[in-house]
Amino acid sequence: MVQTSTNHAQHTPMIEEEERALERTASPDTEPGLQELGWPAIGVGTAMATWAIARQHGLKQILFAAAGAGLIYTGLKPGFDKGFKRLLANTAATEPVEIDITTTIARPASELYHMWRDPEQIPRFFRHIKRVEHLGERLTRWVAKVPGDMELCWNAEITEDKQDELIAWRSIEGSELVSSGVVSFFNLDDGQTRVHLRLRYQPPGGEFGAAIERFFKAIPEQILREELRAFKQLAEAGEVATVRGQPYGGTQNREQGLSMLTNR
Amino acid sequence: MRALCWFGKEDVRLQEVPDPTIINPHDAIIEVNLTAICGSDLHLYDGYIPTMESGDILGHEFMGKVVEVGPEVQNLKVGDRVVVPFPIACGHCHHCHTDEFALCDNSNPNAWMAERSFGHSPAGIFGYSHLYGGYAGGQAEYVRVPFADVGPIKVPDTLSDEDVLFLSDIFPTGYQAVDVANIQPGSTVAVWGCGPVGLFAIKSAYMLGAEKVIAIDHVPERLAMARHQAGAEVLNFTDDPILEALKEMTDGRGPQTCIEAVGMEAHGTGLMDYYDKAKQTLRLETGRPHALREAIMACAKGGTLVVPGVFGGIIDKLPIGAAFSKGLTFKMGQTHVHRYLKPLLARIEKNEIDPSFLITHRLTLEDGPEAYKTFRDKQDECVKVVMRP
Repeated sequence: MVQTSTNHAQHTPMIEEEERALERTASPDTEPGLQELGWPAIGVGTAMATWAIARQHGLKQILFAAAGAGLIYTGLKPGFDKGFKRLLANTAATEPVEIDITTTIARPASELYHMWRDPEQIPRFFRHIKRVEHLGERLTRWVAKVPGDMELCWNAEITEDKQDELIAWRSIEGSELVSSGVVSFFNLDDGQTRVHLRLRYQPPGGEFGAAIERFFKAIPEQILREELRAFKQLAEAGEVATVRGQPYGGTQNREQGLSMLTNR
Repeated sequence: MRALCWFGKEDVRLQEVPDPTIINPHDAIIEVNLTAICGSDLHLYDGYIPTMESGDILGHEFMGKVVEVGPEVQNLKVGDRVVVPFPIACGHCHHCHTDEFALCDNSNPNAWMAERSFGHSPAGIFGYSHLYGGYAGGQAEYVRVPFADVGPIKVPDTLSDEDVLFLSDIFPTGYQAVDVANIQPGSTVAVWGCGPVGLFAIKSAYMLGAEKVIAIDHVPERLAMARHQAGAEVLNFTDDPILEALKEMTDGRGPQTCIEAVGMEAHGTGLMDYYDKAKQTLRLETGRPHALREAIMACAKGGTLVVPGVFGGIIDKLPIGAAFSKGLTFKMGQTHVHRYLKPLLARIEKNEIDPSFLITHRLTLEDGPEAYKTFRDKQDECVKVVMRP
């Protein structure tokens, strides 16, 4: 499988176009984070409530505690409105990560383009994506599986769509993952198609919880590489190779060993 | 069903395991009529191939009857009698399109692992470690065969199970070794190793026009088989200084084509043999390339060295300077079995060859664990074991 990861863009018209398309998606780093919360109100409210609970003064205590709770609520309110998970995801802003993967597929570009554009097909090769919902002509909602039975959602808007050649997208307001990307399909002379995927995303902050952190440590390159491989297998062979579910002379250690070895 | 499972070095057991089922749409389930232990299975038995997991079902040489087909299988139907190639190929990627089936892009579910070890991933193989896909093998009553439209070939009723079984691996493997060398009529071919692949290489060399084939081994019954069944001139490396003898037998030029049908567990003589055994035991190298070194030294200038013997990792003290200075061409790799199925089946049908000539042991799966040991230790004049489940 010709599958390389490289940051050295080859100089072909296609690559320059991808570059432009990715720039036009404009990194959506304006998504609100935890700074949206009313931190002064939360601070003062917490102090009042703590003080009131520490001193046992009957009615006065209840009043102060209630006022403190009110302030804390005011401070947290943007979180109730905008979703805590989302605010957490966009906190502790780290450098955006860029992933760049190329593969060669022995099918025509037009066919691959249509597979990529079909929300029904996407979970067949993007194994970490639970489903893609069609929200409008250029709008889709992506739901990803995260370890620990959690979900991570984002809304993607297609910013550029050239039939059989290129699709560029970015996440929009209301997303738990800030990302943008471009995929291009380029017909090679030997009848094969070069598929080039570039993805930029903002890794969520540590407060999101250990499970999601683990997910994001594992995901970037290797998972996407496997998913692009699954895309190639589906396109060429009509199925994704697997040994999951086949018999073996079992021992208890085996499944453990296998899950360490096998992606599928 | 019952299956031979790997549990560790020198630990093969007959186990009761669940029957295989259709997992992917192009799968078929084959009821195994006849299966064999391959010399390369001994590398698993001896623990030299990494990424085996306790409980893996062994076996990549098998034939049998189709008992179930997946919803998208078109070329096979229940009841067809087939022989199955050991590499698994999708039939639709660039490499399959160019007849390089053992290099299929799409059949190894653990391609990432192979990419780390080899740079790129070869095809998946039945029963041959997770590096090669972790597929359950055919030393069992039933086996799941992926891409069933691409691999299995139907065999006519006029041919017996034993006639066709070796189309799965060793006959095409021996044949490919000669085929890729592009031998000239009248040329001399030297074959290291008179195991099953070496024996088929000798026979194939004559089929493809070699004038003389010289075979090298040290096991008396194998040398006898090479001489009497396959028609080779033979050299025993414990008696003969091989390099001198080969020069002598080729008017000083050396064999134009050298075939290394031994692989990573070669036996040699002298100090170098101890050196390799020690390093391999300590896992400082994964192969003992004695025969490979000798073949490089023996090969005529401008000659071709073909390596059908299996190597899995790293070897050292390879005389690359000799290979370079003599302008040798190297050809190697797993066999593109699919490429040879039809032409070799035709040769069997025309009685040009009876592939069953090398079978020495006809056993059942129950005998499997013992048979691995017998075959590995070359006891009981064992050359090839076939088992009926």
